[in-house]
Amino acid sequence: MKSFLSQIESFRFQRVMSLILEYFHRNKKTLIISSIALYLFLFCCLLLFKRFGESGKERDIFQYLTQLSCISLISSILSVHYFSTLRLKPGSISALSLPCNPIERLLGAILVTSIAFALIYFFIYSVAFFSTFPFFRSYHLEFINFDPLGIGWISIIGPIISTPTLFLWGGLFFKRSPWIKTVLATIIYSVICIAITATIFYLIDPNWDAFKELIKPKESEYLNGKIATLSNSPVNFLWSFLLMSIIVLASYHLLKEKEVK
Amino acid sequence: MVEISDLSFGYARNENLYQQFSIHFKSGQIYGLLGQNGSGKSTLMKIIAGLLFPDAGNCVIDSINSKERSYQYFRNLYIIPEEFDLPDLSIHTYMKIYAPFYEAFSTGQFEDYLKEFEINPEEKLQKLSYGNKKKVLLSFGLASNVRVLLLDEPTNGLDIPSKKTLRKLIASAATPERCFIISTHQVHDLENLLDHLVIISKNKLLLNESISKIAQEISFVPFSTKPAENETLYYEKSFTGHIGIIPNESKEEGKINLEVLFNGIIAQHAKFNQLFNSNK
Repeated sequence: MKSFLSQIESFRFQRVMSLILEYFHRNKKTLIISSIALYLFLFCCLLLFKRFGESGKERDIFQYLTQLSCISLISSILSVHYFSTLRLKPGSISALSLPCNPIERLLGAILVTSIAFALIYFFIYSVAFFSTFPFFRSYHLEFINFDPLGIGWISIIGPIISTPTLFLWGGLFFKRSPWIKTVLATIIYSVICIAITATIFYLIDPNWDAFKELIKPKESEYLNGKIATLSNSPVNFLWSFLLMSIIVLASYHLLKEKEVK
Repeated sequence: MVEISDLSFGYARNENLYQQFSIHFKSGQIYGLLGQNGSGKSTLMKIIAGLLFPDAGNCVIDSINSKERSYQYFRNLYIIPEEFDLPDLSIHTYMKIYAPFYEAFSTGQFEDYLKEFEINPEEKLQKLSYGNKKKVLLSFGLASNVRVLLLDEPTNGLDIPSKKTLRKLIASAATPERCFIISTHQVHDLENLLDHLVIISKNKLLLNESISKIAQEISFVPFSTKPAENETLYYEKSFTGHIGIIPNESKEEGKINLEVLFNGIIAQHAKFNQLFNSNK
């Protein structure tokens, strides 16, 4: 605790910015190549959406899922490899002996993998979006969720913030194949959560049909409504916040205790 | 300055490389850290650099414990490891990115040191040879003006003129506030540079004396024939016959042969220990 407080006292945002700058310089080539690949991918997706997509709910869901999976995948890969230098002996010596504390290091990582990534992604998406215009006769705003000028982006802010936090932890915790192991850990965690929920349900009402209804929400409007209320409730928000805080603290601890063995 | 007390450390459980090991490195000194392969020199350097944590005991620089991994601990410390990884940047860009982390970094000094090593600051780091990369790191480390500079095998990969340049630069950069700890196997490369000699073997501090004290206590004598056992503290074959270490009765400081001394300490640790302790 004393060490944590002294780190807060000596915290300087200027060093966080220096760390971010160091990250971008060190990974300049990879980031440029990835950005070009992302642009081409998004450009092709947008052309397909515009060309063949029928306006309607299905297309919006398809767009949303494509966008979400694209963001989650890239964000998770970026985050899990953010501290990759710490996994190799020569790189970790220079990285860990750099004069800065784990709080600055972690904050730098979170800023890059969530905020900087989101801004860069948005910029690349916008460029891809507007570069599809010459292929169409007129400009028509049919992208309800992901028009760069619209507010649909708010719907994916959650994953943009939570994915990096989780995968930064995974990158620090797992030495080999951190991405796949983090995904597996998340699946295991989700299964455990479902099992706990099922047990609680069973203890309250030993009727499995109610739980079956829960995992098939579309069949019950009543339960659907309950889930929607629960997911928008302060309890859910607090639980998500608590979970994220635990992951951030765990990442801080891993960074602080990281050794070069 | 660097205080290691009751250090216990091991890579595997129940296999301690260090047990209750204590040593103090003072400022204003250039330390030579010698030891056989696997004796724990690099491990000790990493412990001082805060890259490994003691299982027990403490490593403290200016009252700050390495376990805190704080900015205050690292701001006065720079390590040049034997194995390193440099980014794909020009030397100039490398300096621009990493220099802000070191408050006392001097761009002028860095450029001067690179000039001494005949390195062009516009060159890309990845295109340099191992030796030239090391020269860049050495220049950066010296120009960072940190108080504790750790050099692990600094002369490995350097050509003969560069070794001379390195000796010159370290000697010129040494100040009463700074402490240099140099771990090496190439003892000849650092002759006439060191102020203090530390020889370690697994968990044992075999020698921890100033060069001046060593020169006062022992002298190196050539023998044309093999000397008698009780005639020397230690002897070994040389190109011209034998070379032996004997107690220096006159106490006048003579030249030290670091290689022979190292072999002598490893082979006859008890005899040397007795000699140095009896004259304290």
